[in-house]
Amino acid sequence: MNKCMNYIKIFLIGILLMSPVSCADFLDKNPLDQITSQTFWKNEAEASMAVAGVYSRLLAYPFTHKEADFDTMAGDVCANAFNTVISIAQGNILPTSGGLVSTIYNNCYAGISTCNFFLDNIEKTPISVETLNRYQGEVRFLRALFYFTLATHYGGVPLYTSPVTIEGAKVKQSSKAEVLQQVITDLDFAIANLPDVPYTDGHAVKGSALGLKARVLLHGQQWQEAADLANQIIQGGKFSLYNDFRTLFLAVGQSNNPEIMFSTRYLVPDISGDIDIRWGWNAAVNPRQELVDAYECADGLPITSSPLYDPSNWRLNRDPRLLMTIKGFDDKVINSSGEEMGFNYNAISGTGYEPVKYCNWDALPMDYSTLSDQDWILLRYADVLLMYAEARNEASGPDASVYAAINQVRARVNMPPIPDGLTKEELRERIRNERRVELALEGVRWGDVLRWKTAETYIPTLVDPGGTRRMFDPAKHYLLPFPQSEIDVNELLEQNPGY
Amino acid sequence: MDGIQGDFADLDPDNVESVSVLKDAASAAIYGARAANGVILVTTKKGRSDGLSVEYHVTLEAQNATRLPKLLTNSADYMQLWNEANERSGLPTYFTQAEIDAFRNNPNDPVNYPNFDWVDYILKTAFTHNHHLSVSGGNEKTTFNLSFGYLDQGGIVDLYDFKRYNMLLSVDSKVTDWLTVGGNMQGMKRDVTQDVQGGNNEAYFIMHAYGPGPNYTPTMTLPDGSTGYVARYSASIAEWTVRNPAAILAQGSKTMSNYSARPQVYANVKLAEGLNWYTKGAADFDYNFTKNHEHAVDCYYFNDGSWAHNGSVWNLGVRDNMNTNFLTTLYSTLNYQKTFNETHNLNVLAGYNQESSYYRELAGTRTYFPTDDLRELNAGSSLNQSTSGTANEWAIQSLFGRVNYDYKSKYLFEASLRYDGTSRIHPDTRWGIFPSMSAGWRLSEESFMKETDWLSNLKLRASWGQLGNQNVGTYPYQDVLSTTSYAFGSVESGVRPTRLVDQTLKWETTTVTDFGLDVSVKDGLFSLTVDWYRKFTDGILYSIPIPASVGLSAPTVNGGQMENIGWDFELGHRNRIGKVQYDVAVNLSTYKNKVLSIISPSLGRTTVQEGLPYNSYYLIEWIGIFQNQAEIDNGPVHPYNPKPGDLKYRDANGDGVINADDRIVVDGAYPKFFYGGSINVLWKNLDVSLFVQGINGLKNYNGGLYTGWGYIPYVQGSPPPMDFVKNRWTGEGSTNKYPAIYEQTYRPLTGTESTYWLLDASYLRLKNLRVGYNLPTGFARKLGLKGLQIYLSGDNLFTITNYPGVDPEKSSLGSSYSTYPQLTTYALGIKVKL
Repeated sequence: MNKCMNYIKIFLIGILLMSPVSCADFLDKNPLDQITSQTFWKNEAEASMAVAGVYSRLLAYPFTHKEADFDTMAGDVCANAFNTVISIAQGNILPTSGGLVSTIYNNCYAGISTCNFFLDNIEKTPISVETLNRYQGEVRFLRALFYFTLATHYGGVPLYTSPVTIEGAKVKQSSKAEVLQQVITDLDFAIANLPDVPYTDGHAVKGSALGLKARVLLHGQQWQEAADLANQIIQGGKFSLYNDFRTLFLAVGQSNNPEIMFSTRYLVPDISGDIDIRWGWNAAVNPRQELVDAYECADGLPITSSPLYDPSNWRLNRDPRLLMTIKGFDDKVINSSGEEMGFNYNAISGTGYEPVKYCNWDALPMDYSTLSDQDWILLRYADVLLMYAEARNEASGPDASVYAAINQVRARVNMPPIPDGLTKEELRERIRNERRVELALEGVRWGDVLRWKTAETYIPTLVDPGGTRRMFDPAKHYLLPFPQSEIDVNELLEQNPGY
Repeated sequence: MDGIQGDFADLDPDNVESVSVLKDAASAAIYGARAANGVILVTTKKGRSDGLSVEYHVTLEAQNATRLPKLLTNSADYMQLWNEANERSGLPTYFTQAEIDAFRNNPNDPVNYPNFDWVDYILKTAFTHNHHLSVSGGNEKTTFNLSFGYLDQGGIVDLYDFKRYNMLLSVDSKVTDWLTVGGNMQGMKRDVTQDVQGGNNEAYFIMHAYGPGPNYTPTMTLPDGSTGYVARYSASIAEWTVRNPAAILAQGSKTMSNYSARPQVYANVKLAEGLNWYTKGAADFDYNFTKNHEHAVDCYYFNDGSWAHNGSVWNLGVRDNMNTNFLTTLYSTLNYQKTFNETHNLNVLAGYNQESSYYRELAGTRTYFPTDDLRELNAGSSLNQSTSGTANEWAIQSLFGRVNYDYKSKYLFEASLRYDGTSRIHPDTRWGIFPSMSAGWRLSEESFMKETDWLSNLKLRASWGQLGNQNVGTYPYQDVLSTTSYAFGSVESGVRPTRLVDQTLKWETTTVTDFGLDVSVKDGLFSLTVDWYRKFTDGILYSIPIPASVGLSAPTVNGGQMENIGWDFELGHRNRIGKVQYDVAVNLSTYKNKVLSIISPSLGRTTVQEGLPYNSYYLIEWIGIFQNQAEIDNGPVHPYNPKPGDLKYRDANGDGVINADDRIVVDGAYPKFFYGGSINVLWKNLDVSLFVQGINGLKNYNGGLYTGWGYIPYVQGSPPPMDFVKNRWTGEGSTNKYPAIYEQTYRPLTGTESTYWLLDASYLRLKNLRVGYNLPTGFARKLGLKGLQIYLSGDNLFTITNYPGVDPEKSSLGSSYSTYPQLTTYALGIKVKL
């Protein structure tokens, strides 16, 4: 008995002594499905994972189809109850509006922080100088895209080029010029270091950076520089118009497509989007009559003067891009197996129109299991040609190269060339309309009407179904307000004028 | 539960021997590193050494929702008002006047022009039966208790079924005079079947009962004569999905099976007289399997019978999720107890405790199946299949000690010390020391008080103690990169930072100071307990607001200090008048919460600021309804261009514009006080008890767009409440209580977070009423029974509240108005003892 007791006592003391010793292991628990950042950056494979991590930030508003919100804002689309942007598009823009007022801001900065984290660490990784430069070029291209998106919508924003602490982030915004200067610096680095090859695998190439820089310069009305840059792409010969305007926007035509210069990419089932559900089923994108009317007739004349125009059937004798962009609400379609497919939209169209562009008829009939993998195009060659035409016309007036660029875009869809001998102003209107119909529903138009300052005259003329007249106050609506939550937490941030 | 962390939901109430609640830090100190907010101790039943006992307890219950919203069920009004609401919002209207008139003119044609009450159709009476059989007994050496429980709970909605099987075996044995060993084994199986959108507690499905319009029925006769499910009224109404709960029920089901096994063993070794070494080891193994099976169901538009779509299928096919959790606990104490000179009682305890948890999950999905009957993944096509899985683990480890001393049970002292470590905190800061102490003085034992023989007990208590809290998610400090992927040529894995972390994170420490008084007069004829406490929390675990421009999610930090100061009163009265024995108790609790310091205040719908209660409401003040255009034109500029009939807000800063700068702090985040009372009466073999409970001053914010079904008109078509319809603004001078009819996207109403959405959730309710009858012992014996008890019991029979529509108690727990209703239960129970 006593012996037994002694053993037990020894055992007990042993346990008590041992337990603190074993503490260290027992309490060391680390995430099992995440990677510790301290030990990262060991080799090229990890560096390439970090690059993929930066690109993955594109899979967020506004670098995806974003319900065509920007086309709604620009007045080419009106939305139904599925689309919460309509209130904002009607001029109810407040710091507390939520929606795109905060998502553009939040998601661009999520992207920027990922870029800055990458750029801050990549030099630790043992990789060749060429690889390092290319990676840095890609990431700086993406950072430029994020900052340019911010500058377009908010003007000047807080500018960080390396990872920030919470307190370090609380700064006054830099001016729009400073932000754009950073964008140009990043793009110049990208242009110098990215491979001069076609865009094939989702990685940004030199052409992507040149094209984005041309767009930035166009926004800054630096016409001559923009024209030169666009011309550099044209002369470079790495990109060309794709022959099929319809499949340019469908997965089936997008692989190695010579026209696409940069895009947000999908691959089902792992990385899938919902554009078919949102556009083709929920009927959340209702093109407006004004957009339909902007398409010329097949003879190259506007509907107001073309003898081909049939007021009883808007579909007849029109620019072929119209029916590859827009359909009537009840119009049936033909899928790739030749079957005629009807629609069971989840709403009716407020305008009687529904989108065709980007909609895959092979996904019909749809339910919530439908996965989409159309890449969302952020930059394409037709845009570059039209940017060239616009910049060149603004810089030095009409010349043969301007006509050549715009007519090339028209010729792809068998539209006749625009008439010779237009004045600079007449040509400007033709180029603007060409951008509108060529790039319709691609989210480009909002940026265009902001830089042209035409929003203030056009948008107040619009009445949405239900009778609400849109409002656009030029004193403030050319910029979005900073989200109230950001103003609440960063005292140095000055709200944009008028909000 | 029996010294191991557990979950009340797993407990068969019949297995409970006793429950006690420890609120002050000193008494909670030895019950683990997670006791900062108090401890509830549950002891399960053990066998007795006085022979064999068999008990059987059965209850039969009927259950109804306590309160349900009364929604508009007149279709013509519903359609008319929706049109009006859409016009106010500048949206296209959905109904023609002819359609509305047809409903108005055919009130007695429920097939073609229904006025359908969906809430009444979906919510029904549930029936539950519950059985418990226990066999216990033993001798002086060994006792055992074996019990089985079975619960079959019906739902107040169709396709909801909950079954629980419980088993408990406990054995305690005095092996020798120095060794006692024992243990118990609990086994449980739970099966839940519910609709595919059920989710937690059916809340989502309840939403569907509040969602559909009265102008259509669950099914309809189609143009070809067959019967089909209705999707919604017509194609013109924009909707994500079907608005028909019956169609959702037809789409499949979600089944959840849970098995758990909880073995625990202990040994108590008497090392010497008064010196005991007690060790317990326990494991808790949980296995959960959830199968979601959805298939397409054709749905049609009510107005013309045309095919709408194949149902509101969010996740076609089969989704399986399997997860297991394994929690182990080791608890060991050395306890020395001795009384010196019959006056000095000493009790010293030292202990060690560790817990570790390992969770893993595996899930798989396949979408396309050849028939709707096949429910296993292998039967489906691999097209677009997906898998996922993860695991996580945490551990805590503690050393603790406690000394109790009392002198003649007159002066009582206790001191304890804990040393706790957690895997959730960085190694440098993961260990915390938490001392506590308490003292008691039983004045009634003093000689100078002995004279007053009416005073049975008078005790003063004081305690002070610190406890730690580390409830911050499993991996709050690790600087990790999240995995992601991107579709280059093929899908490539990627990593990216997503969050900020604070590696200097340490334990949140709560210091509780408590002063108490216990008075008992004439052995409980009157009794009073009063407690005053101050809970001071230092290093609040707080996710600080950060600029979105950081681009990462906010870290959890030790963000500040907070205090709760409160009073608890309990007044009792116990007496016997003739053969009637009764007792009455009332209690009242109140506390005030205040943030003392915060490193970064947060502003939003709620605010965290120094000097205010934590997460106080921070809203624009609603002051009435705009009665006419002149009032709008002459007042401060409101957002979203309001019209007469819209909400009017107060320009708190007087700058002529209503905006975020006009937010003010509003009370209601916490109740002003809680109160309750109970009465028990015993007369011969009859006993009656009742228990009431209430809170006062709590307000719920109910302006969330998609949580407002049943309250906010036309949230995706949901009918407005009748109270709103009757009392809404209809023209100048009509009311200042409710605005004009609106639909959920109408920005002048729902675009501004204002006090209009604060609802008073105060209530007083009869929580339980029970009448029991014990068969006289002699009579029971004749039946061969040791005892027989029959009782009737009712829960939530009666409620007084101003809360609109649903149950205030249940609603205050969650953010959604359409949560699973609180139930009124009527029960008949029989307890038999052999």
